[in-house]
Amino acid sequence: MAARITEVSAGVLNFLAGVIQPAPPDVAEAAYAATDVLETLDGKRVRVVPVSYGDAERLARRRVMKEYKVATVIEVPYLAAASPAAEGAIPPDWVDQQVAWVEANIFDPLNETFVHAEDGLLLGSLTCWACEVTSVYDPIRLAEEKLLVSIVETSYRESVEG
Amino acid sequence: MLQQAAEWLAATLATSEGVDVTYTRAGQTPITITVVPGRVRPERFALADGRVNLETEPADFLVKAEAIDFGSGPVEPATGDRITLAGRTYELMPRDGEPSWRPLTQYPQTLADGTTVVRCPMYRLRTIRVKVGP
Repeated sequence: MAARITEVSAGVLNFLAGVIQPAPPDVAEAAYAATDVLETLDGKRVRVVPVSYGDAERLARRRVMKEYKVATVIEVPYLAAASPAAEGAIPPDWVDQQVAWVEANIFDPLNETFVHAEDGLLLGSLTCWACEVTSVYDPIRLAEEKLLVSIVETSYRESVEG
Repeated sequence: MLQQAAEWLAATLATSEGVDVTYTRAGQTPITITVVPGRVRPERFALADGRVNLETEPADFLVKAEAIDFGSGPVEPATGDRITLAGRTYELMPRDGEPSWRPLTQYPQTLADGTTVVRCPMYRLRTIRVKVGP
């Protein structure tokens, strides 16, 4: 039997894969520790990784609210040739497009789904408690590797005996 | 004396250690130039507290100042220029807070009319190995 946090990661990945429907060379996968090599990175990488879990609050003598936090790490390489006119910098329009893609395809779906029990919960019992883009992009990776890295953290809670 | 030594060093390095590469700039016809491969120091960056890691292969090259000539006279390197060597593509990018290229050595030279110019026999190029898009 998988640990609950692993099930949560897999559930979030399964949900996101249904939303973004990645087509090669894009990839969406669950991971404990992944390594990308810049010169082989040919498309978007979306990874759901476990972050933490624990008791969030006690609800009753034998009932506790558990919280599970997962991170979705998005990498988008800029593959086009640099423009000398822009002194090699990535076009701001491209950055805008990727930031908008993350918002529309990762943040919004995670933030707006599994919120109300009547609309369905993650794995049937987990409510989306918080969703935050903790890194819109990493300016150093953007400048030095032409790679947009964005991180979205999501917390889910469920009430269990305990 | 220093001027002669610097130019001798640049010429000797290019002759003895140089390799031919394809040098590309967007909007220009690619050219073949001789560069001297320098330090290669693979790096690894942790994303999301190390749950996702990124490996890169920065590499330095030395090039004679007059080598980069797309047909209208020598020009300076530029961020975004690409070097293709043995099937690998490297792109000039700023790195660790340093610019993507800089003069390796510089010395002042007084011309016949009495004016002084700064001459530079070689550039050091800072690059990183990249994936070339379709």
